[in-house]
Amino acid sequence: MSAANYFVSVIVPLQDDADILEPFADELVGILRAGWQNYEVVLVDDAPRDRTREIITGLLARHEGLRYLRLSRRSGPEIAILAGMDGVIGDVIVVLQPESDPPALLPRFIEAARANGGVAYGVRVTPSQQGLAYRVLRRLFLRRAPSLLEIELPEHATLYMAFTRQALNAVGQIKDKSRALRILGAVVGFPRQQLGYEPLPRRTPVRPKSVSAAIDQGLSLIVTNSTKPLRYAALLGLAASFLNLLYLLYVLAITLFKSHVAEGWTTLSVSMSGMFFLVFVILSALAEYIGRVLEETRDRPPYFVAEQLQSSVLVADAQRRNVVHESA
Amino acid sequence: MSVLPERVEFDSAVVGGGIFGCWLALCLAREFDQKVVLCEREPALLQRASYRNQARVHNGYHYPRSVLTGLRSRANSSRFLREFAECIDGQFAQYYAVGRVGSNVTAAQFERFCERIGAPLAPAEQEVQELFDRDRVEKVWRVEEWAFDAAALGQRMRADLVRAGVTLLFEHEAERVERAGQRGLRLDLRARDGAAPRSFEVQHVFNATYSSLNGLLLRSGLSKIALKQEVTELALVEMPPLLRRVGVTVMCGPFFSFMPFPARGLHTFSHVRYTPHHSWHDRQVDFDNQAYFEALRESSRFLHMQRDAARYMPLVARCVQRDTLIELKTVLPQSEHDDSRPILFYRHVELPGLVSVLGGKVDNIYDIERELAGLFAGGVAA
Repeated sequence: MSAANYFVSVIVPLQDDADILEPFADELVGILRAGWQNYEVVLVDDAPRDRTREIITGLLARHEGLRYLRLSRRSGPEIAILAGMDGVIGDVIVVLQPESDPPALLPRFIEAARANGGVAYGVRVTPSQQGLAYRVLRRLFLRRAPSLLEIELPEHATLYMAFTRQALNAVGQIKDKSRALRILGAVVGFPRQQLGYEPLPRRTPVRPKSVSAAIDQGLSLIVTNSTKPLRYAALLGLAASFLNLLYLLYVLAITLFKSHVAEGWTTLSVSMSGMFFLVFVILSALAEYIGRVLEETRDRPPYFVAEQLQSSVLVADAQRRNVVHESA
Repeated sequence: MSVLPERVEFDSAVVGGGIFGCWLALCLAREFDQKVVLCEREPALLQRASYRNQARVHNGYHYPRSVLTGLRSRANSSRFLREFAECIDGQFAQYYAVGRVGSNVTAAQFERFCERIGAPLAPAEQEVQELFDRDRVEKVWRVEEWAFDAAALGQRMRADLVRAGVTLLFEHEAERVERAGQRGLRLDLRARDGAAPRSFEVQHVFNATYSSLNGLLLRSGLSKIALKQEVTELALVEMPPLLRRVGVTVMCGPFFSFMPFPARGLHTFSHVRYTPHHSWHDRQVDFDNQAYFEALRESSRFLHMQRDAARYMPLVARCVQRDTLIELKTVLPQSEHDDSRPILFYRHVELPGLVSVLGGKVDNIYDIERELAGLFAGGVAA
């Protein structure tokens, strides 16, 4: 199979991966060299605290087509991928992580993305090796994702993803700081293809993911991507204010029809429930407006263009001359 | 091709027929009344780095982090434009843009810099601004910059040199410089066209051989100067009709620029990331740069340049590559991390009378005149 001549860019987010970087990079570049004439690998290092930097010098001297970006502040793999996305020139862009994503599957991912003109994303077929708490919370989050975030996302989607240039440009137009590539890949609406694969861990045991950080990120993603919780809060507020209204009416009814009402009870109850009624009504209104503010300030384009075509006939009548036969 | 009388006493020899060598020879003959011989390895002047560059007459914009470079550029450009008017092409619109992500300067800083050096800057016309992707480009301005015709400049230099009485010796390569005779130095040259080798006894030898600078020093038994060499590529492209009379430079980071190249009727296309193919430091290698350059088989990186540039300016996708210029670019290591672009004027301590000169920008030639004055004021033979 001769080397293909379209450009491939590979973005690899790193975080203290000095122990597994060399064999991974060697394998990755080997696969790229065999299959493509033009490629680039962008290694984005998230504020490393280990000896990644020393290893990089060696890699840059051995392999061509490598680039290294070191972020000054630890920001997580999603932001590292964003930093990589800003500088890649490929027609197809692949993201994968050294810890468990096999470079050997690169051709499959690239082919799938090119075939559907959008996104190919990997789904693990073997169970995750993270701890119980992490897995339970993750399942909870991803089960709720379709309704909350209004996208379809399988439970075991990983960060091993391939994008065509158009799909990546669309994702790049979303400027959210709280981002998840798996979610954004779905939000932009380009065709998606699932690829089941078996992750091959390069480290044993697999580095445990922080549960608290994951909860943080999960909540952040829900708030950024969906105004539904706000809507629920608003509805809850309205329901509460309605109940308060009913209570108010009950208190007034009691006062009118009962003979023995404790002193001060009416005033107290009415003022309390009246105030709560007002508070909940105001809160509901505020929740709606905050939801609106969130939607408007989010730097997302209202639409993404999937394709643009125009008429292949330029002039309707080539014989027409610019002449009129009378003047009105 | 050399018409050389047998017994002529020259005061100075200049090795290297690039723009700096030519200007040195002219100054020595005109201002200092010297009998000068200019030796060049190629069959004509301005064949190497003086030809294979963007042919940009700088007006200060290109180095926004160095006010000194900016000011000197502006001072030099007006003189260059006057003196070489027939070699200048100003019939195109030049634009500068600042990238949003990855730029070393912001649009505001660029504007303030131009104000400080007095360089004219105006917001680009609306139709031009629309050619850029606003997500990637912060701002676009119309500037005043020019291109020179390197071929015409070579002819003009030759005419000036002949008129000034400088003797031109082509297709001769300098072998070594040694202390000798009463005049101080002997320069040995090897003929490339099969003719006999030549030797000159002079008071001063000016080594203006750019990437071969250290080659001559090494063969003369002298220590190398700290220089960095880069194999660079400038693609020669045909622009789509809309951009035929347009030049664009995106500042200030891993971006691109293109502008007319009058000598070929095409545009040069350069990219900060893809133009340098690979590099080395002269002091860390032991091969000869010229031999290395002749053996090079570089493949063009224009497709990379085009792919990246098209993200900023989609119209670039319609450029067609016609040729490419590969050349060794020589830089001073100290200039790597800032925008300083000084000329090197090094009076060799190990061999008095030998001066190595290196400049990186064509319009810097005027900064040499004072150095020459200093050289001769301090006594003719050191």
